[in-house]
Amino acid sequence: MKKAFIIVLTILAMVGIAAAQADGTRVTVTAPPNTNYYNADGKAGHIQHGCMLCHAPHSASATISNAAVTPVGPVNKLNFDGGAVPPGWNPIPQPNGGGNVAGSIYLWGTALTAQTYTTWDGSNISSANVTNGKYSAVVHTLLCMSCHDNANSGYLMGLGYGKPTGNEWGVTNAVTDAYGDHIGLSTMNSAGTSWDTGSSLQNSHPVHAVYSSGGTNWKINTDGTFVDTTFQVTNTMTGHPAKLWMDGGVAYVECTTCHDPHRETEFAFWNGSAYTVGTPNSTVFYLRGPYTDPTSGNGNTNANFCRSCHYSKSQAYQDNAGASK
Amino acid sequence: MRKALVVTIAIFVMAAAAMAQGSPDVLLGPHNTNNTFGCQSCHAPHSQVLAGSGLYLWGLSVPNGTYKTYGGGTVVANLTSGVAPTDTSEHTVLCLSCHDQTFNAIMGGGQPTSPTVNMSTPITNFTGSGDGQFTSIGGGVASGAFDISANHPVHVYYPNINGTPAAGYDAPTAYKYWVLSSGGGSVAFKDTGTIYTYGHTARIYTDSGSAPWIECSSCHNPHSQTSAVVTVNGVKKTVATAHFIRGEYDNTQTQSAFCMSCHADKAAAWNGTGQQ
Repeated sequence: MKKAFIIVLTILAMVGIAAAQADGTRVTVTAPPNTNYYNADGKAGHIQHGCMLCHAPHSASATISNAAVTPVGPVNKLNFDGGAVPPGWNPIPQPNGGGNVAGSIYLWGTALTAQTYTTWDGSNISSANVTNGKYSAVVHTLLCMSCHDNANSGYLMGLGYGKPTGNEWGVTNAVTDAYGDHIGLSTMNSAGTSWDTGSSLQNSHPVHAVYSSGGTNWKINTDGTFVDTTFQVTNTMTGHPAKLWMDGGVAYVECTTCHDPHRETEFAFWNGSAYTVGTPNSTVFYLRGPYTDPTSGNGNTNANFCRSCHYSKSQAYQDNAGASK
Repeated sequence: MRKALVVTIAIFVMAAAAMAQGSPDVLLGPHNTNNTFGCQSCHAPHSQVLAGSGLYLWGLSVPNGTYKTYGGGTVVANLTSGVAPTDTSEHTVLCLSCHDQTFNAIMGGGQPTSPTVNMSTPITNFTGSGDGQFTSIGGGVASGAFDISANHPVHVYYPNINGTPAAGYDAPTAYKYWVLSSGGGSVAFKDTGTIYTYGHTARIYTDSGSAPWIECSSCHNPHSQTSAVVTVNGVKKTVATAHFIRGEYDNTQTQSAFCMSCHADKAAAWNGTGQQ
């Protein structure tokens, strides 16, 4: 009986291995998927490839996208081959005199974008702003663009990926997808042979924008945390979910100020003394604090998420007669 | 036992219904569309409809045409290719995304329509109160322009700059208004509340040429329906208001006073010189 049991277990294990091998492109790091990170909308999202969607533990890329010159095909940019430069990508300059620039930033396994982005206020950001590795605040925007920009993405983030002008998703096009595909920023030239070098983030919330302390903003500490810890995000939670990124003593708003790419539906934020961790489905869109579906959720909660940075729009501002807080 | 079960189920159903109705927001009031959208009622964090900067991440479609304004003027709503930095008209035109029922039927009595809204999901079943459903605005189409001339003037110059009439005004008219101490980028009323003790809480918008303009949001702050933070004689305080008014507006005296904070000649403290 015992022998039969062992045989059955062995067969089951072999079947499991065979099943894992059947999916040659997908690396399943959690089985079943951790619902913290599972996309409720049924899309692949950040669960595909697990952590290796973005991070390469032993082969972080030292490349920069050259997509502006050569349109990339749907290459798999995860450097499973030990860091070899994929077609369409060139080594990047090394501004600090050596070292892997992209690779030294969170073991980033995807090439850093070479595009220059115009932000909401008309200023530009690019990899040239990355002068201090992961301590450069701007990487918390540029790394997102590794995927969330057509010119860099091998993941078809924009529906117009690889299509000529007129079909691409640029700033002038309507947006219908709320889940990130819409940030297929870059546009192709009319011949469809190369990506334009300039890309626009002007229809998005400001990124790499300075968050000053006080006034219409909340006061912040020198480490970028908020002085106030009493803001009522919900009836039961206090604190400021947003995360500001310090660079040279200046606090910046970046993509990951509002979004935590590691937690799609269960937020976690520092409330001044501990982390407040959300319950299942306590947020959407990878936001760092409580948020609900705007079509059916809680408008007050949604507004308060924005107010956790925008002090002058908050009830606390009214209650304090506009005094800095 | 069975009765208790029924009661429990009823409570759950009611709770679910309550959740489905969203949650009111004191500050935003009806600007919290359907009680669910919060800031996304107007703003789209990643899909500003119009190109260019300075349009507040506006997530709604906007009118594109010419409006007749009070007194025979016009405001051209043409933000489709971005608003010029010399223009202040967006502080009126963006409001018309919703408040012109010709353009957007949701304001015309709360009909459950699906307006042209460039958000990820159209707004339906608008549940706003009577505030804002002032009769639009659409009646004047026959004149060749949308007509908002039955409303307070918008996209017009503030009349009195350092005692000098703004373009289009004469001295007798300009002197009826409290004087702006500057026509520059940081325009402010000369009197801070020492003469007119209710203060001057209206917001005057200046273009790059330093001209001062009155727009919808000169009087209204769309982010706060029933309270306003004001500065009077150097002191900041929070006051009660209504209709998203930028100043105190909670009884007949303060309601009059708010208007008088621009219209000097209606106030007892006015001396007629045009220099106050």
